[in-house]
Amino acid sequence: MLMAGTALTAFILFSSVYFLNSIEKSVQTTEGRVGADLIVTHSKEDVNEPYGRHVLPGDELLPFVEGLEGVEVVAPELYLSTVSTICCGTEGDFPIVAFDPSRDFTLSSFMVKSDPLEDGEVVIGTKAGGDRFLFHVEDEVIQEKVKLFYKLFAVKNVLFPTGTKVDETIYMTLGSAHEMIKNKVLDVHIQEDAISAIFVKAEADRVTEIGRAITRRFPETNVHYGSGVKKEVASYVRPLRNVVYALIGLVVVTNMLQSITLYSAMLTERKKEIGMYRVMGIPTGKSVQLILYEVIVVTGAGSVIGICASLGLLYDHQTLLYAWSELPLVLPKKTDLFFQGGITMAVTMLISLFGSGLCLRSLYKQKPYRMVREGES
Amino acid sequence: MIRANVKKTYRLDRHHVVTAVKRADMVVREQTFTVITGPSGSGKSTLLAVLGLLEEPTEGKVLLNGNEVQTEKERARVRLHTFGFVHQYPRLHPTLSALDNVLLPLALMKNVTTEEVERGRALLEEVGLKERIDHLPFQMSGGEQRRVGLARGLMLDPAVLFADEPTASLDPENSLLIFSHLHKWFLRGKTVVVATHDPIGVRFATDVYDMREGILTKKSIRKSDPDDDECKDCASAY
Repeated sequence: MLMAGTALTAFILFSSVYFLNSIEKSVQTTEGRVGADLIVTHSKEDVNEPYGRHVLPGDELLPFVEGLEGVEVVAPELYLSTVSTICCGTEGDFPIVAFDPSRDFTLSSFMVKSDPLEDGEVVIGTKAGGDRFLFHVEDEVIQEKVKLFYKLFAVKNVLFPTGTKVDETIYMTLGSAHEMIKNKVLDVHIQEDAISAIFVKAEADRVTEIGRAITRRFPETNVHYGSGVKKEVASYVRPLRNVVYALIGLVVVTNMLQSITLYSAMLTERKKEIGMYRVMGIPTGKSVQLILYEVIVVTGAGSVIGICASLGLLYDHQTLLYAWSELPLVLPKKTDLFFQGGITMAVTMLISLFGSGLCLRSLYKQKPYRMVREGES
Repeated sequence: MIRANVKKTYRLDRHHVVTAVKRADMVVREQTFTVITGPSGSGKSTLLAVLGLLEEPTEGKVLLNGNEVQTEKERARVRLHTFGFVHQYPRLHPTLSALDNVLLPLALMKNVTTEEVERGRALLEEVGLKERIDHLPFQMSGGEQRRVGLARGLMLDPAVLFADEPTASLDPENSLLIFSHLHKWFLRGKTVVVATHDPIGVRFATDVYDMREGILTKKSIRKSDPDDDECKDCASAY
């Protein structure tokens, strides 16, 4: 019973850490996505809407922006077309966008796998078939392909749900896009060097200066400043994060009370046995040591069971959880796993030791003879 | 030698005080088999607890070889090294075998040696539990558990063994067995103090005390004779 209680505590704590990690990751990725300090689009485009047909001259704009002082990363994207399809449980209009994986800082943190995207491969949003792909994302044997512009592309990766238009988008490399533009296989004419938008990371105190320099040099551009969006996201996310922390705190307190109740029941049951040790004159320290040793063994075993159960359940149902929670759920790395498992075990043990210590303290206030004789004639 | 002249009261709450031992003046001589008889609730178990340094008297003193044992730490030390206890309910560790239960007091203090393990086995064999050495408490009868408790009480070779109702709720055959083992201990030159309302126990006694309504009176000093079927003290014992 004690072991089961401890296992449950460890299970809840370990799962909480996992979900907290995932929420943190979600926050980071959302901040990454909207966290570009500058988003440069054509002045006739709206940054909050899907890309339109208006493009920018990449061969001039990109080197110019990269050359500006204070600019750290420049990630270009090019909207190619929107395809309408009904197939295999997926239907709708899906924008196809090209990006540069080597420079990207907005999409990579949303990707389920960290494998680099090559030319001829695509990464898809959850609503563009990615929700099904999630179920065999780790399976090397199963491969999915998608035909775009009469060419087969291997589905290499899937994006975690974002709750934005990204979920419906299919992404390919700029290399693949340029090749198709060169071969004139697209249904519309796009210049080879065209780009739809660039995401810029820059030094905080130079953002406005950079934005002004871009619009001065390229009047057809519109610069959107990311800091406001970032603040807005942070203001939405902070309460959520606080609620999660508060819930974890509540779980810890509830489990502490549960643990105290369990140990109180256990020690009350063994009150006479403990009393007998005291009657025999065994020093308090020695008998307390015996009880605490038992607590450590039971708690240790229980917490290992709880952690393994949590890990097994989360690992086995990873894809189901992806689809259900719409969060970029991430299992910790092996090293983090040991660390988090160790912390969970330590917290569980501390709760149990605290609970049993508290009960032992009240027991040892009683006289040994009365502990043994209580309730007897 | 234990000399006691004590009174013991318990405070139940703010308004109620129970006097368990009103007056008890007694001497437990070395190498005697002292039996305190009396009906249930007469205060004999409380007196045994006071003599065994488990409870402090409300009035009076308990002197061990002429000295008063002052602190709880000292009392615990005396209980560990000089006294042994056998209780009505042995309260064995539920997950330990009979042998491990017997060795537990030692194991809690230090690493148990092979000789001590052998001694534990021998004690269990002596109380007739050779076949039960590796059994867990729940696999044994009440009488057998009682005998494990007796072996545990003897494990540390106590000079004085206190037994509180050691035969309560046992059949006459098992009662006789328990008293026989206590008697063996007495014959080895140890002191045995038993609180019981079992008349059989008086046959084994050298010193008989009677406790009624918290007042102790000395009945007799006699020759210990387990085969004394016509023991006159036994007839009046509870």
